[in-house]
Amino acid sequence: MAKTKPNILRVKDISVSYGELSAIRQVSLEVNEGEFVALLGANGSGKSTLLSAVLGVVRAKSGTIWFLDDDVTRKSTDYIIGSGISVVPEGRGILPMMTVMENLQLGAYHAKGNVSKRLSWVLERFPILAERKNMLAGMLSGGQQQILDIGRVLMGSPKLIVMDEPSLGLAPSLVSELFRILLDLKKEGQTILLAEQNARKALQCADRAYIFEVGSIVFEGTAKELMRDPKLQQAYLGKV
Amino acid sequence: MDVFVAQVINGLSIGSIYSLVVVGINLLILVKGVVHFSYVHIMVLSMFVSWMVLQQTNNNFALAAPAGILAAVLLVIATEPLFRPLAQRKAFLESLILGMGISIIITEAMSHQIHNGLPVSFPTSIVGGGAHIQAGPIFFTLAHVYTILGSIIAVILLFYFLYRHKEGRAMRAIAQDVSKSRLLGIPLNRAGIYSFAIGGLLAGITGVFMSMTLGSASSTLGDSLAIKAIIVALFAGMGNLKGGVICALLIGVAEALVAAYLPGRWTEAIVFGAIMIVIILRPRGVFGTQA
Repeated sequence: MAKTKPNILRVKDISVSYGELSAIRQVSLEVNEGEFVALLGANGSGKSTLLSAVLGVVRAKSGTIWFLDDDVTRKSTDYIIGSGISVVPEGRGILPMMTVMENLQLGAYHAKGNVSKRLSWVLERFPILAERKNMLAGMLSGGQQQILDIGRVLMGSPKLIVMDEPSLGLAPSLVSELFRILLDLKKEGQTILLAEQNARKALQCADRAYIFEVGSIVFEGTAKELMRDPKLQQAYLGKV
Repeated sequence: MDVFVAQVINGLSIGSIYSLVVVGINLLILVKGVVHFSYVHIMVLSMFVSWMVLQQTNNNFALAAPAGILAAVLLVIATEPLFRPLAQRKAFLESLILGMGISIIITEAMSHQIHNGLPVSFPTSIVGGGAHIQAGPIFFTLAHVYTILGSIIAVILLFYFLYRHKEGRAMRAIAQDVSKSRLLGIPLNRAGIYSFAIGGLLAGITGVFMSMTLGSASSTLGDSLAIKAIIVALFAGMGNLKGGVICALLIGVAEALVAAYLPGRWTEAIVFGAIMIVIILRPRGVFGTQA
């Protein structure tokens, strides 16, 4: 009997409204340790709203969110991040007016343990950041900024990495590079929750996927199922 | 020549005080997005508190100074919840009005409740009774020494905190981008209170230096200084920490020199005139906004 992986994130029946407008309705999903879970769906289908609710940026109208079995539905963003979630937001989370080093150090704001060791590890893993460590982050190229953001996120040794549309605005070669890094992280046991419009790339890395449509989840299953079934792909993802 | 040197030293002293005030105000502008007009009045009030402690303890400055500093910290922190809703909206104009309101209350309190509204004076014994250092044409009183050195140390410590300490870095992050800072897990409210606490600390320290250099405090001191401080902040570039320090020093020296060579109110006319020209030509200030 296979040992079930411990649950990292559990979302149950979450609904979020912006005023009168319902953004997401009764959304439930879960992420277990070491899994790479993808949230797919068109622009505006609710993926980002769900992530905002998980991170405490928007208040859910109803439903519950557990992170590591702790009810975080009503908790503040800094509490949730401090519990072990690191975020790469849409459009990147780096501060362009601060240096590469400072951005990495900020990634360690909630880190426990030896920060300088962590810093060396990140710089070794991404030599491009070591080369430019005193440069202003805003002067890096788009691809380098993306790597900085990932480095920044790893500084906190997070239990869960959340990413919102990381491939947006990146050239195709950089997108491949990005997903190669994500796959490496997955192989190292990192738990990842990714919202992506680029369904093909996401499914190549993911274990499981949820598909959003107009604020609800219309499909959930393994990435393999989705890749194998052309009917599913046609119905929900257009041509993948 | 003697007059010139003496005035440059005086000017550096005054300029150091201006720079501490401007740094304090700019810090709050940067981190909270509010213009704390009453910051200076709280500083003056802390001077009065120091004076009251001096009266009670037979001129024990070692007690009076920390008392004044503590008063400043507590008072500035006390205003934080009042500014918080405005800070969230980055409502500069409204915060200016709120600050003015608070300053009126403080000035009224000082002019009626304390010492019957009369100015208070600080005995020279707190600065070694007029002791001084002389090297050729250069003449320093202890007040000058404490003020200039003390300001330099305070500013260095502050910059060290902002650039080398985790919480200082977090404050700079908030100043640049609130939503990204939030997603970094930085507790925005707590950082806001810290910035007010540091502001209060700076105000209290400045009050101590003012007691030494000026030797007196009056209820009208707040108004004249506050306007000048905001204008220096504008001149350097709102929220620009490093620029503010430099401009404050320059203006302090300029004021002192003009005062020595031209009669009375020319000082204000020339200094404010120069600032006016700069702001017309460069509305973002000499160094631009943001440190």
